[in-house]
Amino acid sequence: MNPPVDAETLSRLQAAYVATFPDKLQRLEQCLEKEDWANLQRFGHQLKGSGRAYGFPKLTALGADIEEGAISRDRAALKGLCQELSAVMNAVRHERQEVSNAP
Amino acid sequence: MDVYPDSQRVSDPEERSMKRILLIEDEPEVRLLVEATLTFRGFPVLSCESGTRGLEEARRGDFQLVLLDIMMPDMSGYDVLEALRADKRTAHLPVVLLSASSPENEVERMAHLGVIKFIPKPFDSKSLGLEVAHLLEEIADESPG
Repeated sequence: MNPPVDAETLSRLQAAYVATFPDKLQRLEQCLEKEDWANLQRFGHQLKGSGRAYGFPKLTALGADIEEGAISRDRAALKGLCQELSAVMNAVRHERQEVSNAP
Repeated sequence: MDVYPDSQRVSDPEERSMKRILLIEDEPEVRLLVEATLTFRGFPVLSCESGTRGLEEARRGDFQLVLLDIMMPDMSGYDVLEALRADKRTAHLPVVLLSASSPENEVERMAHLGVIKFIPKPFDSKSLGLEVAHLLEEIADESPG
């Protein structure tokens, strides 16, 4: 059975994806601050569509919840999801940093 | 996010004469992953970041298959699909829809517009590659000559 892509490409794609996490979190916080429901929904939809494909299923689950929260305009839920997403993204970045720093 | 040089993203002149897959997807992260998956399997891909550009390419290129996202800001995938079907140069193109939205309420519309497959996002890259390979085989078997 063939792998989906070669390991080097996959690693490069994942690294580039993880590098976008700080921008994503900032964008999410800004949209929440402005109560920009349309872009919050779009953000959630995109995260739902990409997370698991890059090997991060938790991001897909959170993306789906963010999309739902934006549709129902549930500010409190979105605030919690924003914190949860930040924790997950930071953990992923930390984990990858540890692996790359390992001797 | 830029992990591929342009020469790989848009097929080189030699590849341009081959039948390719046209990918129309506005999300760069998904686009890159699909490109990487299909390129790795040896399928030449031309990718477009918008429906408008995708339509232009579809009209001037020779494609075997179109992978089309539904939710895009300039033109939705359905708008693109309707425009493809309305143009004799592109009406015949086999189209696969990609979306993170449930297709439940769109089954009739997809059938009416001749969609050959719906692939939900997020997709598993390996499955996507296999699915596309299978579809291309079917298309080749069905084509005359």
